[in-house]
Amino acid sequence: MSLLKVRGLEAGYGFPVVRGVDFDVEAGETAVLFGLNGAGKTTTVSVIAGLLRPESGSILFDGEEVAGRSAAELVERGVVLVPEGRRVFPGLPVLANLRLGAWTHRRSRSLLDERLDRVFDYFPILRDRASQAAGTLSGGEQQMLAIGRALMSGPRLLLLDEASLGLSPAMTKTVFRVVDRINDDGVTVLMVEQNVGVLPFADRVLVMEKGSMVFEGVGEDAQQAHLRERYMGGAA
Amino acid sequence: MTAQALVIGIITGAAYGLVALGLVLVYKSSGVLNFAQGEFGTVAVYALWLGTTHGIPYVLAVLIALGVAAVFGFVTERVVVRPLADAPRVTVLVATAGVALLAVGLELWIGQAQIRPIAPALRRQDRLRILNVYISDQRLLIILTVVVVALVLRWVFTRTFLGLAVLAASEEPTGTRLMGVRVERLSSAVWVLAALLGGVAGVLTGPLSGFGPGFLTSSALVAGFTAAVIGGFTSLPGAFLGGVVVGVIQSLATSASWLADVPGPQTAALFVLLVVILLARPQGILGRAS
Amino acid sequence: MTPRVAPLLALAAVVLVLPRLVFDSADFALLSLAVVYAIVGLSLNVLIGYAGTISLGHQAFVGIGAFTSAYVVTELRQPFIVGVLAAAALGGAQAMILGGLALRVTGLYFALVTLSYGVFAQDTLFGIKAITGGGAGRAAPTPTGDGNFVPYYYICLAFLGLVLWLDWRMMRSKTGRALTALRQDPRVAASLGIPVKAYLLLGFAVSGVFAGIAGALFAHGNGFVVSNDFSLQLGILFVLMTVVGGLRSRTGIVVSAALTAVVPLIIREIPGLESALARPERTVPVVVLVAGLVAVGVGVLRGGRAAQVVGVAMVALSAAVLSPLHVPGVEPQLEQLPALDPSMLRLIVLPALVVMTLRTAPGGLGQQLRPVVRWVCGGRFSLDAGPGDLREVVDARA
Repeated sequence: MSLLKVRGLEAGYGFPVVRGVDFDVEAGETAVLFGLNGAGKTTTVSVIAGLLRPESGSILFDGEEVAGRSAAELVERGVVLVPEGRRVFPGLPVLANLRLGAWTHRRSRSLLDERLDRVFDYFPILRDRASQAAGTLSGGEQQMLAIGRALMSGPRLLLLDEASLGLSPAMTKTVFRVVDRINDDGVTVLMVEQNVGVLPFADRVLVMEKGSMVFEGVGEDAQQAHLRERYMGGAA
Repeated sequence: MTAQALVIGIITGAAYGLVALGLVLVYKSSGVLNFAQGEFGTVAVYALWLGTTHGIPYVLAVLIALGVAAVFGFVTERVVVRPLADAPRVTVLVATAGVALLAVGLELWIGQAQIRPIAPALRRQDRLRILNVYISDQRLLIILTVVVVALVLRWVFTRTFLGLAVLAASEEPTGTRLMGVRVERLSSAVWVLAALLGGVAGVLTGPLSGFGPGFLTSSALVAGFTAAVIGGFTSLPGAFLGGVVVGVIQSLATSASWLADVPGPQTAALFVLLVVILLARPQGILGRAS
Repeated sequence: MTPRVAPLLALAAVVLVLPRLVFDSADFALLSLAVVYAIVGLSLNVLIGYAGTISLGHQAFVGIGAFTSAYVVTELRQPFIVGVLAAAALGGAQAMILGGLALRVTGLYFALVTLSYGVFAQDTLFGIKAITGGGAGRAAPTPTGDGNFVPYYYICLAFLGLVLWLDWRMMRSKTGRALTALRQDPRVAASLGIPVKAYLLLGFAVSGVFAGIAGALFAHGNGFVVSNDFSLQLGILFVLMTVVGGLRSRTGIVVSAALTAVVPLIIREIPGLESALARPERTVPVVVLVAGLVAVGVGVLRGGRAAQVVGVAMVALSAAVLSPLHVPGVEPQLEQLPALDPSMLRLIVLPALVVMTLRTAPGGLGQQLRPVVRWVCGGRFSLDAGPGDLREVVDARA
């Protein structure tokens, strides 16, 4: 059964941006959502994460209808978004940023320490920076912090919006590798990306264009050929 | 003379610090200049007065008064501030000024246009003498309460999830929402906390020189805002210290012989102080330039 | 568009003739005050509505006009009109000084400066004994003779007409367009070559002149001025009535300000209301009952459970108090409530109206009246009042 099942999703900001989108994400896989600027990718994940109410359509998470629920309810169910631009808390220390990630489990001290250890295992640099204000970190470190903070809530579905934006190629690769590790450890991942370097890690590729899903594919060869035509070709 | 002004100024300033803390908290969390902050305190004093004149024991009456202030803060946030979340900040400022006026109207009705005395929590006047100045127990209580409040707030904002979430929401509301925090509830909590701070300031200072309709708005609100500006408007310790600075300067202005011919030296000092700071160091004395 | 003559004549009749038929000559004191408030509202509108700068210290603007005119007339023994002119001049001058500050300090911080300025004016400026008489106040004789308010009302109306005409001329001129541009985006305005600072100062000056005139008329209508007339509460009241009237709407502001001033007259004219206010032990439960029913209604419509619970509790409690059942402890307390003074009612009603205006109709009264105004001006009658979203209290420089 699909962990995430989106059907007929329509959303916008007074004007339509996402116009009837259908797709699935299976449990345990890494899905990547491609598309040009303005295709509706960020809007789609914002709706799934509960930041924006959909106009219509259904979002089933683990068989339960979650369309229109608040971000808080979704985090409690295990859906967490790492937003575009990271949105870490610049004035707070790294450790406080991470602790806030565990807001929904704030009563359990032991769980907190356990999750913290896991995050430091994925991103050792954050341990060294623990008492530093998040605003003083480099872009790559802030992205790691944003992902680590999201992991603190113990997600089942991790949504990443443009995680590679503004990062150096080396840093991008590092981030993709850690996301792959997180996926290997059992977290389902849905990434919004413009960087094709993520393709080797993708189990499923989705492509959006002008608010609609124009391609959905599993299996590497086909998707790459198709992508070049659909996405890279379109861009050039 | 000066020593006395200093001591009295510090104590009054500590109470201003409480008002300023409430203002800064609300400003940090919702970007609103809350003109009703003074009335949170005045309403509490009226509740205390009604309670004590109806034979309710003092401590219980204080608790009820703080409860009234908290409810007032909660309702203000829900009915006035939250629906205007997307409105320009000046609009919300006007709305809170309206809340303040409403409170003054109700106070005028219930208590009539007169300055009333109210019994202090502690009555003894001469237990302690510093620099040749007798400090009443009520003033000692103010200092003690303010120190305790400051320590509690410090703990809340560095150690507790609630405090961290408030700070986080002031920096990144969307990021905070994505952590599963119900930001609206946080906003309610902040307004209740601010109203409690105002209420504490009210029940402590009301007995010092009596109270009347809107008495904290016309005195402590302007002082509190000035204190907050000195502190840079986002720093909690800054607001507190700013309060002390304002209190001392006001107290010195009142006792200065060269200002004896100036009417209302306290208010004049406040206005000059505010203008000078805003012109010379808009980020406040303790605040950081952004 | 040529204005329709008949409705304008009707309006003139309502303003000029009707009060003579309906009210006693003593009531003309309040009617004069209504005209004064209207001028104050227009003065605030220049700052908040046109220049996009908040002022919470307008009671000081008005007070300076009041004391200036009182001083000029009683101490310098000049005629009333010289007093008004002096008040207008000094009002404009002090506003420009504050405007100079507004060039450096913007947004919410400037709001604080005006707040502090108002309190400072009341305590310090109006406490200068030589000019204001200190706490004792200063006499300001009514030019039409003591207690003779009927002709005074018409004098005030003439000044209101002058202010309306000046405002209208200004907004139709280059100045109006420049103020609009600088309110909407000071940087773009500056880049278009508009001398933003000069126009902002001009806005302050005009506002100060209007407020000075209003202050002089206030003083001589009152017969006496004391510093306590110009409290912070009055300043807030001025802002609220202007916002309720609807920024940038002359009609709305004049109506709203006038209604604010004549609240005591309105209360007297509505049968039963005055006696209801005098017996709060019966009135308060009724108000609570109605408020409770509204809360329940809103709660049901919007799905707010807290509103429903609170509403039901309010209805139940007030119903019990009103019914022959006795609620121990509550009734004797209500008996002790003092009667509600009609002029205090302003402070309770206006804030409620402001919150309603800001939440549901930011265009204020002016927007509601706009179809009528347009029709009177010769346009076609249509209920479409145009966009309301542009009419909020905005400080573009915040």
